[in-house]
Amino acid sequence: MKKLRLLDETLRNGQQSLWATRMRTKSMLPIAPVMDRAGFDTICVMAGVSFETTAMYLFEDPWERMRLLRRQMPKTRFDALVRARNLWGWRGQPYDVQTLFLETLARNGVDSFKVFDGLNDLRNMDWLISEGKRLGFKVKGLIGYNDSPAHTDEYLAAKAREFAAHGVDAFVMSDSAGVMYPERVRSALTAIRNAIGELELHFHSHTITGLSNEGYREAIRLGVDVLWTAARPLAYGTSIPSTLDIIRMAREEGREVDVDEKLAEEIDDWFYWVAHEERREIAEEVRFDPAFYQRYVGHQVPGGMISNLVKQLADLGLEHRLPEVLEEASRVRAELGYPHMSTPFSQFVGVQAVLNVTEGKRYAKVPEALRLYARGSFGKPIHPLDPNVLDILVAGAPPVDSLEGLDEPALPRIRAEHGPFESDEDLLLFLFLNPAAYSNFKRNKQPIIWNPRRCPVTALVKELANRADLASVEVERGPLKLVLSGQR
Amino acid sequence: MPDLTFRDVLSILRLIDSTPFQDMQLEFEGTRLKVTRRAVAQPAERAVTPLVSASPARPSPAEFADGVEVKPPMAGTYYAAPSPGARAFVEVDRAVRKGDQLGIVEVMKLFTPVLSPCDGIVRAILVKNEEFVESEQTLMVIEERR
Repeated sequence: MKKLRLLDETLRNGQQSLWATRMRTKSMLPIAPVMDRAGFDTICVMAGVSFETTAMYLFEDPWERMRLLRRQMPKTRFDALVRARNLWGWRGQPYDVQTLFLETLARNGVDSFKVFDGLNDLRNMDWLISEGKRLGFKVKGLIGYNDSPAHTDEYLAAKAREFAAHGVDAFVMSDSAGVMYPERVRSALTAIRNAIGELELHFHSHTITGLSNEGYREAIRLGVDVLWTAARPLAYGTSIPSTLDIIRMAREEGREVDVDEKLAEEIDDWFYWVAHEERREIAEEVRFDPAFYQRYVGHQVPGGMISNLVKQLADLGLEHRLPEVLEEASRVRAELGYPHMSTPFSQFVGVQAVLNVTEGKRYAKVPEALRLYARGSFGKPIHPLDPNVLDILVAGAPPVDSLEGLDEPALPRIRAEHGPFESDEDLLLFLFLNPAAYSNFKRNKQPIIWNPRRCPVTALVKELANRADLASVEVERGPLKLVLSGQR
Repeated sequence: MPDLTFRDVLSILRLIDSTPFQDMQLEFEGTRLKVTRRAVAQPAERAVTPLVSASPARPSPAEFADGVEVKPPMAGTYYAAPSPGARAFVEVDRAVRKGDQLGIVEVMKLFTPVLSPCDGIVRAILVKNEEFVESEQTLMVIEERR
């Protein structure tokens, strides 16, 4: 069987799942040369949310991060995750902005991207796929799985075929909710393989319910081309499996892997240190619990979103009604046609469930965006909406096309109204952030300062020197001897 | 000399932080470490008394008994302006028409407009920007003009 390749998600999915996408650039750069040598097929460096958090919370320039990473990793393919016509955020972006975004990604060192749409509506991705190909990107089409009557093997295979017909270079089956049993991985990937022939096939799964590792084993046996993994300190919990565990699993299954185990250990070691420095817990490997699975599979509300629901209920003094809200979320998810449980659709389901429970009457209050969804403004739903709910939501308003207005160039207007911008990178940051966050970033931007040397002994001494309860510290190592005492 | 790893460093730190002993000496693979703790424990930090800020009295809807009360479309965070720093949708004493946007309520990034229920003059605004509002709360009072 072909060698198994691994796509590293430590810097993107891992930190997005576990660290609220707040890892500092200086924590990434010292290990980057090792990651570049390790033999990953691709290293994912960015998603829309990373642009926002990097600039808004770390006051670092995300484009600068990308260029610095590229300088430290000249060899390996880089990719980014792109949310269909929105690119990021909630609104569809005009075609000229979509193209500028891709051109700017390319100029800053990204040579591949994966594109997904929460409704799997290819129309929302057409422009990006064809522009991506024109600009020389390796383009991957991604379908997010949820357990539902709509997500049959036939549906998944048909979507994969549709992507293939659009000329993508690879297809990604993403079990982002982490609900695929190994048997289901087997049947889905078999159906997809039959549909796409030799096209490069990726699989990944979030370890939320503890099913993922066995799913990966099935994928390895079925000859999937690329699996997504992360360094152990950013793996498991609600993230994805660890690189070393999957390397070992592949060996057990008799498949060769190109990633160097020694270097993967070195990468793990570094991120343990980063976790300590950035005060992050190491997530546990989740054990499968059938009772938890049963409670979760109905709504499949992502973990980060559940904490938002709790907060929303707490504001109303109704935390105790969370179980009721989650049960209602299962019903709403079905009535809305099983949209993928990620932004913005997971919010539609969650918020409406809260409203239905707290108002005492279902769909008595409805957020505006949900009405627009029902009118088609986000694209064609995965499954038809419940007809009664559809009537309430649409309330006689005309349909809206998800591509409406996108062919209207927006850049001249943006430049005239908000420019001049220093660069295209700057303009795109302006679009990524709201105006207040953008000007706050411009005022408070921090230079990216980092130390390329990774030296554990120095790290140990620094840590000990900072401990107020120690009177003296002596370290001897080879020719080095250091004594610290009489702390002021 | 085998390399000391960052995980070794983390284990050593855990050991030092958790040991009940005054002195600790550690020797392994070419590294020798000796740590002595201070004799007396550090005094605990002084507790800080939180400042209590008095909140100013705000008008109640009852003061505008004849007006039409504007309720939010749902519970959530109220925004008075279309974007941070922008001008508010309405101010007190401004004339509005039925269906004019008066504000925004946000729940988990879902933004729903607050629309004027009638033609009239805004007589009172009873919420502050970015305040959490409940669904039965009165946001504004409008004196209706027919």
